[in-house]
Amino acid sequence: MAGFPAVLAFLLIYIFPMGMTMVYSFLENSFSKTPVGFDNYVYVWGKPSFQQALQNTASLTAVLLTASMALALLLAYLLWKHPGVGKTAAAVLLLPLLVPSGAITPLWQKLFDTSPFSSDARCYAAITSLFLWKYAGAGALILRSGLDGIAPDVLNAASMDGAGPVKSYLQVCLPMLRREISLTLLLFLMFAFRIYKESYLLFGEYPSEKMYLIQHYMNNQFMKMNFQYVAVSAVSLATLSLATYALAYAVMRKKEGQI
Amino acid sequence: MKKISGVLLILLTAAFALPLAALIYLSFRSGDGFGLEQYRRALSDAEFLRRLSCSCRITLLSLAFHLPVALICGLLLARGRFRGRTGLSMLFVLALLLPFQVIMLPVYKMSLASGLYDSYWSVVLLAAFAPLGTLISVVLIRGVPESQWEAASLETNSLFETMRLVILPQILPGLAVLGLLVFADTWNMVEQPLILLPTPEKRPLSLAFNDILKTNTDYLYAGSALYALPIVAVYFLLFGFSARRKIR
Repeated sequence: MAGFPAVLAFLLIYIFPMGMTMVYSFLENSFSKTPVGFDNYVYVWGKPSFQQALQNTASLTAVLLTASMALALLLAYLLWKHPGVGKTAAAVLLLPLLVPSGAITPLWQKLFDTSPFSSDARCYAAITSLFLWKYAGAGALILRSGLDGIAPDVLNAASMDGAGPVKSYLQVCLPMLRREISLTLLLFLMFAFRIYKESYLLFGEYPSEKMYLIQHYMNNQFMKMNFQYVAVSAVSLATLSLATYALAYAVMRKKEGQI
Repeated sequence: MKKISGVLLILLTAAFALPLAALIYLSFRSGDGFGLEQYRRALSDAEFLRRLSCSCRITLLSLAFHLPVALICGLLLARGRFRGRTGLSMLFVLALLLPFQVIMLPVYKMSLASGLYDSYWSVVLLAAFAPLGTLISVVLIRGVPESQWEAASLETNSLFETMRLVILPQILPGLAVLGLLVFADTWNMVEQPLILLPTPEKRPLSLAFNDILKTNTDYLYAGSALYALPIVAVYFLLFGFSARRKIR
């Protein structure tokens, strides 16, 4: 079929490099090409700057996920309760997803007065609010689409049993939204692992200590031509991302099993 | 309770609209006055215009390749009958999930080896074969009932004809959204041109406020507004279009 050459090109551009990254991580450097086993891993994982970057990436991801999920759940509830305003609100909430980060970061820099010397708290506030603004609306709309599928009978039964609107939303509706919740979570995770773009635009190449992510470490090593260390960091980042996805997936499956 | 939550929704929606409103407001400020001064400066700066045309060129070329690629790959993954189809789909998902940094180094080396380093084509190729479009079109194509697809296959042997007559008319609205998302994604590319286009003059607008225009801030907000304008305009055009279709 006509699709195969295009698929081959995709494999060459996106999948083959993943394999190459894996190979590079086991070579002395990209010039001598001597295999060195896990030496690069031992070196990189032992570096305090890498450990710091790994820890920062994990905490930032956790903060971004929790905050955006909470806001998306709140927005979805409000949109659902007010279908009249919902349409206009939905248009406004979705728009930030499309606005290029580079166009809005100058405003955020002014608002939060960020510089390489800004405090960690200020940097966290800046990047978390930017993340919420850009992505929480899209997540809320996905969750909202799931709420339409819930039969009114179920909600009536819940209110007969004395559950208030908030209680029935949290305890009756949300367990029925596992598909939408997992999709939203996946989306937020994906964007959280791409937050380097916004971090670069906001803080430049040298951010405050808590904002120094694995991607910054990789960029620094890239500039120093230490390609084997870039490869080790890339494999670590990929493992971290995939492990988080797998964990999220497993939790969702378990929840599904309970119901 | 209902009243409070309604007010909360309006307040939150306003908060989401605020940044763009503030950007527009600041873009009309200059010195202590109010006017088009910033826009005049931005549009008379050759460097800004060059960056804008870089962005346009990269995005339009990427879209022109991405849409057909997404459709034919999507068709293969949605309707193709071959072994390893699920595995292949998983690779597209994998490529979507992992950040660019995972493939950055080999991509850089491949661009050097192929002579595409410091050329628009390196960025365009990355965008053209990005997994997002394919995965969305798989969902869109699966939405078309298989019976219709089989009926059309009896009428004509040409895959192209089946696509044109059966699939495309039904997925057109979804395809418009796909185009919009890919447009936004490409227009917003930062890491790829940062690594692959070392010459500042070749870099798109997405990087402008971090390198060459960093010192030149007398039209920062108008420049940002102009940068956001195309995608916002297309968004509202599509939104108006879909609203009108529904009325009919």
